[in-house]
Amino acid sequence: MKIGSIEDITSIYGHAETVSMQWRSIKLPELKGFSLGVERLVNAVGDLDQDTHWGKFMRRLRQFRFSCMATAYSKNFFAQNLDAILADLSRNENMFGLSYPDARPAYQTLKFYASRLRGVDLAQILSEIVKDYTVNEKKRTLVLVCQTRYVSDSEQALNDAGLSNWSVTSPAYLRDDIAFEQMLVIGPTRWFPEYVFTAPRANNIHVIKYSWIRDSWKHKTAFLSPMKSKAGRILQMVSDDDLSHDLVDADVLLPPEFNLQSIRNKVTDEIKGHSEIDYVQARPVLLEDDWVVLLESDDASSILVIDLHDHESPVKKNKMNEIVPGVFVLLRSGGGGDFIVPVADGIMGKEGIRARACQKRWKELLRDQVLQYGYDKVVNTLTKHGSTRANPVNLRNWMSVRSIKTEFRNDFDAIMATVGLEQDCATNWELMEIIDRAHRRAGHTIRNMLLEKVKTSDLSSLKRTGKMVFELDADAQISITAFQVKKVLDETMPVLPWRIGIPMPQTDDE
Amino acid sequence: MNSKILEPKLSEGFARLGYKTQHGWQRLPEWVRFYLELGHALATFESKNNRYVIALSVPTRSLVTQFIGSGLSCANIFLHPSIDQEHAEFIFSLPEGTAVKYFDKERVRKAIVQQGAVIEGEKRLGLLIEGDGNKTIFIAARDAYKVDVANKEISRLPKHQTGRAVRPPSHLLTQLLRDKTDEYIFQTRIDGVVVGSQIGLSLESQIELGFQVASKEWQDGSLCDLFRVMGEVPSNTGYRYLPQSAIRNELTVAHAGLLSHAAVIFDGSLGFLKWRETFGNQNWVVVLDRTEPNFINACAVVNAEYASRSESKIHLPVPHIPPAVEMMVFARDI
Repeated sequence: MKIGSIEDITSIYGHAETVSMQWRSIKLPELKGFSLGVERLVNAVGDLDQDTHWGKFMRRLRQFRFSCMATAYSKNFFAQNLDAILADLSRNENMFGLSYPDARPAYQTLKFYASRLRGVDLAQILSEIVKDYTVNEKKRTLVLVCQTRYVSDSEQALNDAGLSNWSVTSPAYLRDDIAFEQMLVIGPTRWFPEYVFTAPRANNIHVIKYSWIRDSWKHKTAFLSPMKSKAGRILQMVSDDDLSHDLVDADVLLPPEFNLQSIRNKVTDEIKGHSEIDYVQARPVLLEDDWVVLLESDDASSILVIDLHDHESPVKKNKMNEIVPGVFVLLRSGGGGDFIVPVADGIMGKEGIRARACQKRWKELLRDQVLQYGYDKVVNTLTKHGSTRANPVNLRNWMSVRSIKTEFRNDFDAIMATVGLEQDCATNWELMEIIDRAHRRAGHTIRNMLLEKVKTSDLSSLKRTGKMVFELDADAQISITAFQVKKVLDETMPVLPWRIGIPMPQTDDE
Repeated sequence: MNSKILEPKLSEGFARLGYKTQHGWQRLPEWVRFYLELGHALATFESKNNRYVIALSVPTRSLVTQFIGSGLSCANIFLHPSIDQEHAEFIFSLPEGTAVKYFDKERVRKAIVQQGAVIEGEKRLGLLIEGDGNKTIFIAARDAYKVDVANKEISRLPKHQTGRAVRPPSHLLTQLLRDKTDEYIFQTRIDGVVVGSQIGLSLESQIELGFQVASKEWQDGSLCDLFRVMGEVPSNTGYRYLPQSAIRNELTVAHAGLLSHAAVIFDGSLGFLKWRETFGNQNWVVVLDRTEPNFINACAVVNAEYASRSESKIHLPVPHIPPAVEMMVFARDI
């Protein structure tokens, strides 16, 4: 969200003119040993992405290495993750040696360096460095980590070190018109989007990184032939860098990219045993805090979003093709599945049980018909029985568990006749109308609950971390989480309807 | 290619604009002046064979579109009298019975177009302004700016009509545009299209602005007095820009009717990537915020456009580009 004052915006223009960047390097031989150890192992065997077991193992190692260097890491969280890595290394040692005998020395070296990390307190080290910048307590300071997943833990680490009033955030937050006096960037510049430095939100940027990571930054023009602008003064200073020859490029240390294949494998497993007629096409959407969700790729489908500009009515429905990076989507995070259904079932009470059973039955019977005779024949039969809107697209929709009933009675009667339930036509239509009404009421109720929650919540955390949970009904286990969209992938994949809209962690590696 | 020259009094006026802080009024900062003057400079552009592309890479796109748009509209009203001619032609082509608004002496009255007449060798537009007594007045082409199409049909005119007072609601505009104020406020002339987030642009435009008339005396107004977008100004006043949502799929503006001088201001990468082809024959101002997710893609598109640029050069008489801003200017053949 923008909406800054002229003064705020003037500060941003001012920072771009006078910003100074300084590098501060931390020497930590134990972490350097571990980092280079991981690199040697990767060089010996590759990333093993094609191997499900070893691929995951390597991803966990690389992710842990990256986390150690990209966050303040609270003492407890670091210890937990280190214990898990050490256990992993011990458990897999023999099998790895058998699978990759040539890489055994690299594995043992890595294990040695990992064990040396036990005595290290990353939080303590980083906090000591960060404290150096508190000479002037009144300076408005921001700590920037490269991924939202590190925000909470870094805040915890700083809090433990007595720096409780420092804000930690990730780059997406810097899209707002905010201005600080100094910004402490944890990690080399390469791990951050360009705009952190080309559109700086602070006058002094301190890049804090480990000494063996090679890093520099150079301003590049966006356009091929820009006009000459008034000269700015961007000051760059480097200090304390490691003078040894084994510097590592910042790029090399980046964590593994989102593994679309793992999501593809997951949904492929789920659709096994189901017919093609059960699938819907879905598009993976990457969310902040390393989550991913599959949303219906049909442009006409819609999803709830939070519009931070609109204070009166911040909860809105957007079409799928309006979901772009930066938008906050609302997803059910408690209980799973469509959040309308449990609320609608609660509204219907006992009557709902009968209605749901009826809905399930006729849809199953219709599906059986399609499986047996195919779409074209069933469409013909429906038409013969008086349907005026029967076509493969509508038929797919009528069969779907995500739809309730047909819009018009003659199509519904035709379905009942086709599946042999013509004697129950009127009763079944009544029951479907009960469900339909309950869904409408449920939608209205949830929207109001959400609106109330969103309006009374402090959304600054959502802006800072890109994610926020809204507990709507603890008894019904309805919680909805707002996630900021990072990327909408082009690829689509067939999934079962219940998979739509359920956020999943991008990786289970760490 | 630029045949018009800057309007010095407008630049002097821009220099006296200010904004309200908690410590009182302050002159507008340099970056705002740059965007106002950029809009001003764009109004000097005239070419039958080329259109301009102004690409800006900015640290935040907040208020950039509004100030460029304001500079362009304020300058157009001084530099493009031909726009009045176009408006006059439009008004004179209205069929009899069309409901219109007639502005005169700080009052607006309902009127209905009647058969015209030739008076002293000059064609005049007939306007029925009172139901009783068939009071018809005849308007010359030079006064066509006083007439605008009404927002709704008029079934019957009042018997006697004194009209509603329409005092210019902005002292700031009165100071800045002087005798052009009424025309600016009450007439609709399309200077361009704004492609962006309508809510965001609207909220940003609420900023209070002032015009310094003496060392401690300011005449107040707001940014939306200057930057007049359809739907964002009172319905009894005119506007200068048509809004087009960057995200929605529907085209909400009748782009086919845009005049050649009209500029399309893309407020952000998303709208530019989505709608640039629709407005392929217009002048472009592309405001790209470096912090936006699609910034790199949009820059790549701008650079590809630059690779197909026309040989004609555009000279823009603008002040120093602020260090935080990168600007590329080129012409494309129409």
